[in-house]
Amino acid sequence: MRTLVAYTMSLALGLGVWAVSVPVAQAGPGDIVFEREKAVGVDPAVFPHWIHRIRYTCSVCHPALFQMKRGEDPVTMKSIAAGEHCGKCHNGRVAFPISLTTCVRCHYIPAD
Amino acid sequence: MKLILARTRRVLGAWRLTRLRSGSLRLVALASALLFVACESRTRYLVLSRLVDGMPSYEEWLESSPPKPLRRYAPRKTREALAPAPVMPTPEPARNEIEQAKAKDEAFAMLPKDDSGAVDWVAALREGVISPRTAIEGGGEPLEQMPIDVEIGAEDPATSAIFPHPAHTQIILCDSCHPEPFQMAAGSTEMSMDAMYEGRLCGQCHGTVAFGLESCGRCHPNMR
Repeated sequence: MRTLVAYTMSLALGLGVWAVSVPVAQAGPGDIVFEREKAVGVDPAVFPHWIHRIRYTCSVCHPALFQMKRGEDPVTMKSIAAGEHCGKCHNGRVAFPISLTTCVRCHYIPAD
Repeated sequence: MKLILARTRRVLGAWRLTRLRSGSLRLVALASALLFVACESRTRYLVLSRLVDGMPSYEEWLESSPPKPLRRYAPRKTREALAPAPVMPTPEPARNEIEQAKAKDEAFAMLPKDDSGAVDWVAALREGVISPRTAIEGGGEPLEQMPIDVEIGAEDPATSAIFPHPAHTQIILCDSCHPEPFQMAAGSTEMSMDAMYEGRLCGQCHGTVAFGLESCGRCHPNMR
């Protein structure tokens, strides 16, 4: 009986871990996975280039908002909340805002 | 005077009655106090700053999301108000079918491909599969195209390449490529395929966000 309970619990735990770590989107050409300065418990942010270039020309973001070379712009949640970088559009008016219900739309582990 | 005293006594008596004598009442009071504390903005900030990295300071955060004033009476909730708010705002109508695609595979199935199987974004634009906006809001005006094709000569003419300015300038501005990594005068930047494989020059975009170096014929017309 005790082992049965233990098995069920570990299965539930495993399923739970799998559910939160399962990638929600596939990787595309030119995707950028943001590297962090320090490790935190949230998945890294992924910028899917393709979904943006379907809707906008390069010139909308480059080089005014983002320099061409990756890693040159210090993108932080603070800067986004202040309406810079991604926050220029991701403010709830042009595109989805940053909020506790939209975290996983950017923070996920892309599938290969 | 007597009247005032009597009234004060009555009020005090009522106050005494509400004192939290029984255990269940105390529990309810504790729960409501906890709920009140959890809704308090500083507590919310503490929890949020644990979950989200790079939160602004408390004062800045408070300014950007001012606490809602307490309402004495909750407004009547209509069916519309109870429906979940749409996450994706649609300030502008979709311009193409592809903008309504729900998944990456669905979108990529609509995009034209070149001989190597890479997405041909230039063809997508030409065929009207995509009609990208040139401004964050309002759609923007089409970009002014630079008409000159630049021939990048090689010792062996079979390997010379063509750089088409028009295909690039319809989506990207001059200052993204000039003067870094390409100097303005033709021939002044030394080009090599090695540099591109290292992710420099054309390789900064081609191989990442644009078609890769395996699509030879798209730059080297004699290698088609």
